[in-house]
Amino acid sequence: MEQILVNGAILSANYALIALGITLIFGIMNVLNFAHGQMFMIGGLIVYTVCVVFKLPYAVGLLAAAVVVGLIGMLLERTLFQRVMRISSREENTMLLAVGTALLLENIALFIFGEKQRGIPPMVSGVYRLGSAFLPANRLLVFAISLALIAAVLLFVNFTRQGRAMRALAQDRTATMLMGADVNRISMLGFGLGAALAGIAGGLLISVSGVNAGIGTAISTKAFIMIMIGGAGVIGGALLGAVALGFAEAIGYALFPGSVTYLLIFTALILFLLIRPQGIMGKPWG
Amino acid sequence: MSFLKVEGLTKRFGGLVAVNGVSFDVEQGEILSVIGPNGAGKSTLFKLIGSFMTPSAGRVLLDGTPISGLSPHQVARMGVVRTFQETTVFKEMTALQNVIVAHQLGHAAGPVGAFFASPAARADDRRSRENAEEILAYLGLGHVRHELARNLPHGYLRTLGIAIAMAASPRILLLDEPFAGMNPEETDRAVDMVEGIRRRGITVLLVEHDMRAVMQISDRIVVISFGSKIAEGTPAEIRDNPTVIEAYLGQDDETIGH
Amino acid sequence: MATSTEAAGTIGATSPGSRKALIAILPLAILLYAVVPLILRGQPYWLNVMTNAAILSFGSLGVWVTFAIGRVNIAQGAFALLGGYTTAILSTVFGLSFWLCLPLSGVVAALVGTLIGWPLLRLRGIYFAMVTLSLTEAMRLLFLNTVTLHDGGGVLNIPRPAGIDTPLDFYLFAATLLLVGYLAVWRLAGSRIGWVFRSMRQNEELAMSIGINVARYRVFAFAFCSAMGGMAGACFASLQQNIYPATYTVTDSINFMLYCFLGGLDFVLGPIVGTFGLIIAFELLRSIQEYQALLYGALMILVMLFLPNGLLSLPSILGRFWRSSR
Repeated sequence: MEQILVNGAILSANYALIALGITLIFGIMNVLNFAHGQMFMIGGLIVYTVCVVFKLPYAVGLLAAAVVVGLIGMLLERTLFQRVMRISSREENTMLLAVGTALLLENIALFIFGEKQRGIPPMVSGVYRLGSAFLPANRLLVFAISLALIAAVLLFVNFTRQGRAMRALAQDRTATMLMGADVNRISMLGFGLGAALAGIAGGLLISVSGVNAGIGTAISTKAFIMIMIGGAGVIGGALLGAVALGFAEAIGYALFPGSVTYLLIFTALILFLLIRPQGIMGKPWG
Repeated sequence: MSFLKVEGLTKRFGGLVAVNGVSFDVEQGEILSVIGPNGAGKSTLFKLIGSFMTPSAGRVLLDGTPISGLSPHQVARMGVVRTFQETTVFKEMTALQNVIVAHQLGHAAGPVGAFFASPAARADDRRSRENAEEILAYLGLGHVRHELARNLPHGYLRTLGIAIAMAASPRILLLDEPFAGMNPEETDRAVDMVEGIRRRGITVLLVEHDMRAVMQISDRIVVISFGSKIAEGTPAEIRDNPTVIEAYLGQDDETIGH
Repeated sequence: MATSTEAAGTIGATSPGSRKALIAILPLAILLYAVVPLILRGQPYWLNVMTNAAILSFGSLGVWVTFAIGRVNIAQGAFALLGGYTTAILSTVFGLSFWLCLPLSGVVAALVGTLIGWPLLRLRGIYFAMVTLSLTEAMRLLFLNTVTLHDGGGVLNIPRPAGIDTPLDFYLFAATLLLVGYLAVWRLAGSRIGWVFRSMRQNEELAMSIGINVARYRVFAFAFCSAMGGMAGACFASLQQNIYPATYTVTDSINFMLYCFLGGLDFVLGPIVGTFGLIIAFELLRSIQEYQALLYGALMILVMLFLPNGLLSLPSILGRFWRSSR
């Protein structure tokens, strides 16, 4: 029982980073980042490259993951999304562009890293006991870092000028423009931040369970599940969704064999959406 | 029996009461205007009558049949057709196509016939097209009928919205602020147009701010303030009604308009 | 926009239908029936590629119909899988002929589409997209956990259709199916129903206000789409002679959607052009094996950037360019 709680908590914290990232991007730009899973994956592989290939400390790896993936996000926003959003007639165009970027990033990663599963040795060794539950020190570290980052993001969005600009943009694009804010720059930073969060989440996960170049779609799917549960574009919803999914997974994997867990999660999700299509905290239909 | 009967219509949004127990009748063939200061609840009232919202209390009857709570398309099929406040048209179609597609009622051929282009379906389409051309010409849009709707100027879009509504064979037309943003000359033309609609046998219920137009065209007027009906009567009665004048105090002189 | 110019004055069926239909279908028919077999007669590998492209085009045509009502549908893989398994089980376990399984797969897919679609089609935009994506995954997991004929949930030894023996035979069958599908969707788009769809896509509220039963038409479009997906899956199962839970994944659902988009959403021919274009491009890049996937992805992005309305918008863009430079 305690093991389920521990697992659930750890998963929730990691997933929260993913959910926060995609929520930021959706909130600011109204674009569903289909490439979120691929950015997660690239973050993980960057940590692998830095730590295993270049043999640098883990912290450097995480920083590199955040910076590189963040830059990728900003680049995509600046060169691709801004242009397409300006010239497209149908609103589906940006969604499909996002799908295209996912494909591109995945193919680039496959090209560079191949299909092999990569992992890194744990940074700290040892196992703690929490009642009847086992808590590897490594996972505890990941948990702690995740929580710290979540707190940092919340502080950033609520108390810094940049963060508040992003929130303003998410709430009312026209008003924010009229107030003289550089909407393009805020969008770019927002996308970069969201991407960086995905990258860090990947960098954290690779130390726990490893990453391969093909997991992008699976992670994106999880991100979507979380924002479907919690509501798109709402930070509180993202966190709620992460907790819901994290614990659902922990409970499910403890009780059921392999793939049945997600079958149940999807079934429950679809039934939930029939009653409340916008998620727990989402605006009607979105 | 009145044609359209609004009975104790109420709509609450959380703690806010937008429409409060409003009742009035609309006789067949008349032009009835609903007026009131800004934020009085007129738009909400309209949406309730057109069944785009369900009332918290009260109901609407058409020819004795309750229509509240039916889905909007059903109410439209029964003859209650509304226009929209914003310029709501099918932007990627031409004006003519907009009005043709609005002919969804009274087809002889069903969907299967339409798919296989049966003779009945082809006759339907011919009829729809002829009717659409006539409506557009009548409303003065004949010369732009092959223009894409999104290229049309604002004033034409409003008229196009009315053309679309008319194509749906309404028995009663709910016009949402048909004179908004018009100069006096345009307003006079629009007043003539609404009169023309009535002459075609369509009852008109309209919501409006422009007092001058309302006074010109209405047979009767209902005044709403803060969600409640405060007066009902002929234009002459309403103009001199002290309750109405008080409700409008503090509004621009322009809106009182006499 | 092409739909308005191409249909200017042709709402419904104001001219003799059969002649127009023939004109619409002739170029495609010539390509599929004459050109391709002529060029690829003795090359089973390429005939297989074309067969696959034809089957996938059929599925993409379905997705085009949901685009026509303004929904981004990432569930076609689920219905292809459903149709494939229906055919697989009916033909292996119950010995039914493929020619019976094919329509049955379509019917099953349409029924499930109606059931699921009715409540879910209230959603729009990204919500609908995400839910349909979940559907694809859920379907895969369903079959993985419920089909116990073999380990891993697959079905093997699915028979070929009676009378289809060579790759050329199967190709001609697939091409015929595609032509029938194209004709059906082309007719749907040009009929009164197609215009109802257009009106719903452009403004659902306005459509309701003029008496259109939006909910019913939405479900019809989705069921139509699902049926085409189911039949595509049935054909593929028979072509491969096996089916697994992983035969159609989220990636495949996304591909169905992408093919439509890249061909051009304004044209019924779009999904076919998009599918064949991308599949042929992918095959041609096979010689540069290492860079294949990479170039494929880059190509897609380039098309999105410079031809946001799809490949078929190229003629009108070139036309405008030509006229403005004179």
